[in-house]
Amino acid sequence: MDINIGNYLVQSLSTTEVKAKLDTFVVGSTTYHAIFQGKSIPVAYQSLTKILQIYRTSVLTPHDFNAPLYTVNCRQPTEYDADTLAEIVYNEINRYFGTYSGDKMYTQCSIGQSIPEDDNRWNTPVEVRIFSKR
Amino acid sequence: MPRQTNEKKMMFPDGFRLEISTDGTVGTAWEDVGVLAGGATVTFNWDEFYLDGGNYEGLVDKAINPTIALAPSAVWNFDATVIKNLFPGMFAIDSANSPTTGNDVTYAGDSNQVTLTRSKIRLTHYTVDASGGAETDADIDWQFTLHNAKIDAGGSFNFKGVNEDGLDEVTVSFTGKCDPADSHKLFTFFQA
Repeated sequence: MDINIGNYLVQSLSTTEVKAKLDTFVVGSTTYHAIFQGKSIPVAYQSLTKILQIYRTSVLTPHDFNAPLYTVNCRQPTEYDADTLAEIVYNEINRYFGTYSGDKMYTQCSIGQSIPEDDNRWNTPVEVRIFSKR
Repeated sequence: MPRQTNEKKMMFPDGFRLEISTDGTVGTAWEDVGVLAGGATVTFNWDEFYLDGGNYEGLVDKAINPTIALAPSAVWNFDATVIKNLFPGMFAIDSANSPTTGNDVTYAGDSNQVTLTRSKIRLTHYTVDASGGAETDADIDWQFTLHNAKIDAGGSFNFKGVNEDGLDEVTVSFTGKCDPADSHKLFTFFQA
């Protein structure tokens, strides 16, 4: 099991269609799209409103095979846009076969209901189960 | 971590397309059965017997009459043509005008006997979205083909009541045996 398997989601969700819905920020001279992995977002970027936040929500077991559950929080200023971004994420990686560092990967998605988190801040979580041979 | 093995050619649970041939055991024309309630179970069966080789060591272990039982989960695609093709030889289909325009699925015989038709059946898994016809053979990562299958005795239609969960279902199962007309092929399990 790879504790950093969530990096696969960052990789497979870094598509043109997803990035078109996200804010950007600059570090040094490089521009990044607002895809964060982890339960907390760095303070400097907490004011961004169009982001993907990815983290693991299930335990990892001692078994030979793990299919961990991740949440992809799709945050947008409106409920409609949050749902739209969630649908884009779903269409990108639901029942999707990919590769990560040469290993075969497979993901399944469920879209949760949208949550109003603050003024002009909606979150539609997409639950992703990652099957991998790692 | 003391991993006990590094062999891990696992298959992920992504379903499959179930198809039955509509040209007997030729296998050039196929009916896509459509969405199922779940998966399918393939069971291999054979009989054993022992051959006495006379003065040659001990008895020789032999197997005879291999068969394969294919039990797909319930079929949710309540399409008249699919239903007819799922019961090869047993059911027929005709266009109907009564009670309104549609199709009649009926018993194919005209007496109390009917000749069943043998078919090929295959389960195919594509690694891409195969619903729109853009998939190719290059997208197949596994395929299980049963070469000479016949419907088992009996099937069912399950019409749900309003106080039940789930969809109306068709259940059917098949048994395949060696095809003497095709080099006694029994099954083929392809893996990319």
